[in-house]
Amino acid sequence: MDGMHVMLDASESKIEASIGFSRKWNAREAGREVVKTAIEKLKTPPSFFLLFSTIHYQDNGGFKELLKGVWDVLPKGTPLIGGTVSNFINNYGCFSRGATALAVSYPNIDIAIGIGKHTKITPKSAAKQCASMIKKGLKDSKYDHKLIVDVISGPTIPKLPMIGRFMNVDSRVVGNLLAYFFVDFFSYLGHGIGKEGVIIEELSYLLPDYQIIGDSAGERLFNYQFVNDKVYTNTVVALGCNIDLPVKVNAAIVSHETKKTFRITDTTFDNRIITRIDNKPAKDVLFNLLEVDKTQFGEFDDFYYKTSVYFPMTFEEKKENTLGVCGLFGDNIVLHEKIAGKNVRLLSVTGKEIIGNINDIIHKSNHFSPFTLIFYSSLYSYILHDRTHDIKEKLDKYYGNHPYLAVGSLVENVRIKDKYPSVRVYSFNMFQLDVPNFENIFTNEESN
Amino acid sequence: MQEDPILDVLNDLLNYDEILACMVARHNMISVMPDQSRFKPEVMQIWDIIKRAMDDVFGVIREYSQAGLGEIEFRLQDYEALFYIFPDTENALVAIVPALSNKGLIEVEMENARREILKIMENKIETTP
Repeated sequence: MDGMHVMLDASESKIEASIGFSRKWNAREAGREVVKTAIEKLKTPPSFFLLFSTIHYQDNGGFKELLKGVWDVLPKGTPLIGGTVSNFINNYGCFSRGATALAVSYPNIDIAIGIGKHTKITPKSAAKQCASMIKKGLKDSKYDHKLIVDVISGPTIPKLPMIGRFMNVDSRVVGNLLAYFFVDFFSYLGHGIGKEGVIIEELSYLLPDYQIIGDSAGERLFNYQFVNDKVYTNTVVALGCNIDLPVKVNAAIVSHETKKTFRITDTTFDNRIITRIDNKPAKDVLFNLLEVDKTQFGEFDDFYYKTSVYFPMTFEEKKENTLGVCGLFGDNIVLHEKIAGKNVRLLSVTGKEIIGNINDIIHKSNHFSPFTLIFYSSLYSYILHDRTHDIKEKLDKYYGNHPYLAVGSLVENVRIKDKYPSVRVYSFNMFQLDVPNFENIFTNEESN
Repeated sequence: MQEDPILDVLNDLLNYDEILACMVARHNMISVMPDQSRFKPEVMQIWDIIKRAMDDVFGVIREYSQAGLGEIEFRLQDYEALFYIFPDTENALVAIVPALSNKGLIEVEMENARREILKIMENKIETTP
């Protein structure tokens, strides 16, 4: 085995995986390098290529240039999807700037790419377009094990004339106007909340045999999705994969329950904005519960980074779903996604808990996978800061040089076999293959 | 003359929009600093007061770095100064960022820079005759 690249015999066929990486600032050069580093060690061309980059190429040549660089080197016809991410961890390090990729080569695999447009305004129809392309592309596939890797346009904030971009409005009147009337208008502009829940439910319904793992592309302001040589916004892109090796998807939410609970009594924007809690203005009740005073916060970012980010919500009715506060419009609380019930319990997260739980999840993961792909909450970094490097240390401790790529996501989505799909924050979701005749990838005695 | 590789690391940090100024410094002494023309103009307006506050913080660093002080930060007006101390020294990598920026992401790259500079420092020690 070579560093960050692996090749093995499985079912008399060869599977290879490799991680690509670039820290170049110039988009074109980064595109070339991320492919070069990924494929130079592969003996056969990749069956698929997952590409992720931070937002920085937006101002350093643009994402079209990044993809031009990619296709300067990547063999023509290789199926490619990807998108922008907040940060990422791979065998090379832990970064919040750069480009990275996972290239996998295997003969007993069928791949189809799906894309659905206008997710903000018509998420269901976007999911249908995407599912239909995957169904069509894989209709003749003879392989039994099925997975979808998706990248969905996450929440974006529109830039309004004279007002600019905002996530927090103090005025009760303006906040109510936004919450009840204008927020819908953002969707027509291709902006606003991500609608990941609708998309994943529809994909799961239309493709019931598939396990799903994915993320919302990007940060809170902008995000982009990639399909082959095209750059998109406001889309869902997905890689449908049928393979003859068992697919393992593991998922966990890293947090603990607090005793703080409340009951949602009124919502708007199709259950994505909480207007009343226990029949009182929502923001006041949340602030009381968190024991904070609105005079403490000059602006939303102060509340978001210092308090809100430590307290995601879950629902007594569906504990697999977790949500965070995305903005405050007057008395109303804007969420990342639809509520999954009326009875909310606040969760709490600490840095120590994140590191400890991730260690346990990796320790219990499959020992016989040629690569590991992870979608984890980029909110971890908001708590861990430079100690995000500790996650990298845990991954190295168990996987060593075996290829792994962990992508930092704003909102994660997952569907494990025979379970309901869920959209969540603060989760750590892992895709591996199960190849029993493969060497044990756990690298040291301590980890066994 | 050969470019200082530490300067390259600092110049790279200045490519980030959120990093307004950065340097490697110690009490009353700036060890390596990029060309000040690369600092964002807004930080230069309050540079004198930031510099004075930094010097006071370096007094604390000198006192406690041997005890394991790793990081320190302060907020002054609309700016925050982040100090990443090099273990067992009085030197720190310092960056000035806007208050309330996403430090979660910035500090991942600050840590990468600190590690890179440490490596350079160790190599310098090894190669010095």
